[in-house]
Amino acid sequence: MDMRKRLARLDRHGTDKSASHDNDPPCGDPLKLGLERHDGTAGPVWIREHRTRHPRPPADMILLNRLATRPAPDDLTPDEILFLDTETTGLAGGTGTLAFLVGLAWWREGHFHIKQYFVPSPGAERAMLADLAGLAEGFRAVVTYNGQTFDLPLLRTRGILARRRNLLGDLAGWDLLPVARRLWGRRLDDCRQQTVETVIAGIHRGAGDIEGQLIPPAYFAFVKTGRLGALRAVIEHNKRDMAGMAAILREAVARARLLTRPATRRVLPWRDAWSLARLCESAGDRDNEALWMARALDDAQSDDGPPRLFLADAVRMIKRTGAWHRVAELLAWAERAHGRARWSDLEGAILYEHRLVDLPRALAHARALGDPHRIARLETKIGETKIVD
Amino acid sequence: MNLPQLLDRLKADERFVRNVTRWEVLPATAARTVDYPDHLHPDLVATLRQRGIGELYCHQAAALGHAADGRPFVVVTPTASGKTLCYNLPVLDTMLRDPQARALYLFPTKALSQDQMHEVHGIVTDLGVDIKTFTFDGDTPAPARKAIRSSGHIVVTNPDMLHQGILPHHTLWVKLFENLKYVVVDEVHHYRGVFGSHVANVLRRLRRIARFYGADPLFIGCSATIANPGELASELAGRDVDVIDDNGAPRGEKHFIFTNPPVVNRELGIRRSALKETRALSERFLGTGAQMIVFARSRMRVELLLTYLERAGRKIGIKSGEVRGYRGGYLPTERRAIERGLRDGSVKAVVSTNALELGIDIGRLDVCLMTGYAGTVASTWQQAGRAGRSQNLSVAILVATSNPLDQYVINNPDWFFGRRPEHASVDPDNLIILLSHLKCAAFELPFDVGEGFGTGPVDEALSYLTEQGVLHRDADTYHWMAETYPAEDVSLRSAAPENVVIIDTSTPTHAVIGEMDLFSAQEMLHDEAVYIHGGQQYHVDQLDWERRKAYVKPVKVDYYTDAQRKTELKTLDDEGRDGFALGEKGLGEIGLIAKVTVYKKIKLGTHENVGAGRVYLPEMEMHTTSFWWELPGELQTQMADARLDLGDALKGLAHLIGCVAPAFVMADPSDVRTMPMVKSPFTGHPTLYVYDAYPGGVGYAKRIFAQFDEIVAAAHHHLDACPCESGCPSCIGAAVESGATALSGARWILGACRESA
Repeated sequence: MDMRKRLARLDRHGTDKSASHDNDPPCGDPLKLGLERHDGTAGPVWIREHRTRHPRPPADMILLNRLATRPAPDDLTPDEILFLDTETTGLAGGTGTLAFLVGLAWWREGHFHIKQYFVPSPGAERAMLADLAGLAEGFRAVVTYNGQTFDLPLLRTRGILARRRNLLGDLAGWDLLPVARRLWGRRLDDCRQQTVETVIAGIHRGAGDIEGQLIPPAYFAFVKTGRLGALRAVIEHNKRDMAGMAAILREAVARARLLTRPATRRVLPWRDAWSLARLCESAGDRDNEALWMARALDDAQSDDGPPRLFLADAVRMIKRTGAWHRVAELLAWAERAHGRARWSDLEGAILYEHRLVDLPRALAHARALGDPHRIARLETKIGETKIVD
Repeated sequence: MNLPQLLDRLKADERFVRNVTRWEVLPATAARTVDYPDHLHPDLVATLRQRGIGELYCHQAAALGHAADGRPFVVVTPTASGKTLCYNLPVLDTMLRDPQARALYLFPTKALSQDQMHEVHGIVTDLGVDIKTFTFDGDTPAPARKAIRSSGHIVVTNPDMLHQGILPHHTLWVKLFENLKYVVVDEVHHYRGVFGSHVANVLRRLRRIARFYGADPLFIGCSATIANPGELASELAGRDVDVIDDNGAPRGEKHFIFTNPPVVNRELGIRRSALKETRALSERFLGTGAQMIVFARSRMRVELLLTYLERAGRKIGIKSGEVRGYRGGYLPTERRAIERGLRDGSVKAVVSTNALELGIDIGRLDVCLMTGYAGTVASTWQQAGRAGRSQNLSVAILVATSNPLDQYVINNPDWFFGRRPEHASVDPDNLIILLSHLKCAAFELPFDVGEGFGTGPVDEALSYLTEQGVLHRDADTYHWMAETYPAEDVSLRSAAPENVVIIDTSTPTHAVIGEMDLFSAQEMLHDEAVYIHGGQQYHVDQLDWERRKAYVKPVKVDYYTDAQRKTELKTLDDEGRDGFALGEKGLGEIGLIAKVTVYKKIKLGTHENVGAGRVYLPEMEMHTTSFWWELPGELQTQMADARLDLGDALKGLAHLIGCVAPAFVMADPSDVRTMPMVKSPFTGHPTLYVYDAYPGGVGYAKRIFAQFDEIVAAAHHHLDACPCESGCPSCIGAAVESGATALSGARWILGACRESA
């Protein structure tokens, strides 16, 4: 029997029949998307380029190393940085996901250059990757937004499939997502690139921006039917992602500068000050850690009920300064805002026993903890004190 | 009383002997060994000698020879014959010479892979080299995965993990694939039917990826004894595989006893409980001090037998820790402790589900009791092989249940002890299964036009998938072009992607207790059905067909439900025909349209009809492969002359063939279905259809076509041996169901067959 007939009869499960097409569909014309065809090193590539007179890169950009998960070389200069963002056929991961649009950007001679590679059909990917690898050779670091987990592994995988090992492997990676989380994550509802762009960098993309979930279908429609559809919007979206990353980078560097300047007059939301305190703490910068925390505490007074995590951080940091009465105030605050908790009882028991030597108070905390050794020790101590009296 | 004394006493015990259908004594055999071959790495030889292995068994040496020549092979020797060395030796030998070399081990279950690591670790530690062996499965923590990918020399995993976790991410495993020298597939006989057809395709994908990285690994398999291990292994390996079955391991004398509990209800063919029988035997053996394993079919029975055995043990001074249970649901640490206890002798008896049937190392015991037939000859030998030391006497006893397949086997010991009755079959080219894996494969690597996958080019299927919109053809290449991750939607354990999930609403978490294919679910899980799962009755409160969920809760009622399915069968394609003693036999593709409309409530014991209800479910359609037996048209009048009803006779025959055929094709009784037709519209004659219960078929019908002479002869023999009066579930079905003249009618047809043969 005809295999085709059997296939149709048997396979009544699951596949996407709405997208049924002719065997060899007309591929869309990439030129209509404003792309230019170039002869790449390994075949034709489709490119769109822009140049804007963007604000100059911050000269002290290397400060970002203080915030990044993986540092870049200390002598890195702004024009050695490559911004990268991909648009893909899905978020599933694995080998079968294609990066059909790769946006790249860099600073050069007072301009911000954006170069977008488009893959009009999967067969054109190989040439694109070859060009991409060549272009990347001129750079030393790659800046992405969540690229360390998504874009770069995906490109590396596609590189292996195209017999191009270690694609972009020599570039140091600055991923802005963890940076944004560290700087603003305590204030923002989420740290998606567009949230950070809007709230932190004041960029409003407006209604024309395409939603992420519509991107793969837009590409499939183009490949399978030749319809341009929403692809223009995808290319525009990707371009905005580049510009957005540059803006976020600038904001992040500006913040990094403040790390050592807690006395700045700039008004900061107290949650951001808290974030800076935490960053100083992990860098071992005790002085600035305490100062930033003090700022955060001053401004947090007006907030009703700062989170327990914040007060716990505050207690830990203020303890280092030896301001024991301040610690006592913080513990009282935590109890008012969140009720008794084991951590604050433990802190209280230690504080009142060893630092403030208010033994009955220490005992009350120890009892709340239900720590028999501590209770026994405190009871003995209280007894001895009475005898001395 | 020691073990030989107890055996003597059993031989003299008339009450015991009366129920024995076979007492087979397998004589002791001596080891056949050869010296280590010269080409084996001297360090490896030294280490083995240190471990007390002075020479190799001849089958181990043969395995090494094959590996050295680069010839793929499958080792078929009994349990505990040193099978694992057959692959560990060539693998370690290669790695000692080439530290970059990699090997992939596949085991059907997670538990087994854990155990395997143990053995390799031991040898590697003694060798004092840096050969890293890791298990990679669903339990492997994320941080460890990275290290395993880049530095694991031997990666031990299971087919499901290979399918969903490794192949779709092959670029993370470059080191492994580039240097892949061996693919070891243990327990090959497990890969049959639906599961086997899937695994054959997973291995096609594996080879395709290995090729991409320039590797051509050698296939090594191990299998329990079946009729066609070479054929099965070749299907899996995608090339011809040699069979090594010249077992050189020694064996002490072994007694293998078949016992059938006495009939307590002749009409229904119900026998005394196998559980009670096993309990009584196990208590007697416990007293001999022999180390014993008792197999039971369900977790509940394991617990029950364990309780009895502990109680009996206490009376004779055996501590409760010396009698243990072993089944799924026990913690891994607990299992490891029990395994250790069995090896060092501190555990005297273990009651287990078939979890211990597979090659987990528990040393060798003296006695094995099996409550019920393990489903296949191969599995039964594996269970029985748990008893059998190289020197001493050992005993294995199979206690049959009332289950039809058990009854066939226990009453036909010649069939069991004869030479390899079972054929395992797979059909890797089952279109649905093939299509599923083509999607996965295209996701992993684009397909070139004309590229082969398995037996030949698959362009037609690829262009079909292109039409379906999941692939895109660009010049001479098919690319994956969808958002999904196809491996996630393909379960290796089921033929059709969709199943009904069975949910027990009486548990606080609404536990899922099982899954069932849509076709069977209509019959067994309709609203108000009584569904039996693991010996427990459940009432189906609701079958949510849209969401594919059945909500059940445990009940205790004195009836069961029997759904009536109206099935229309259409023959779509005739693929083969052959003469048969009586009439003709055929093979082809069929279409089934089935609808469950009503069900009956039938009282347990009396089989009275105590109620009925309607079922409202949509019609189901399935296309599959079927065998058919076309009987001569004049049969009807001939039988009428003999005052027999052809319809009853065919119903009875269908039931009988349904009991016997699975034994030959290594199928579960639910894997094949039968349908009798007094006049088939296709053949125009009385016809009995036997078809695969899976869309597209997985090879059972083909196998039945090839072996039908044997199956009919066996069925005849079985019917003659059945002690029931007028038909029972073990032969032609209860007379109330098949009809009053079913038994005599079936006998008449089989008699006519024998005369014409």
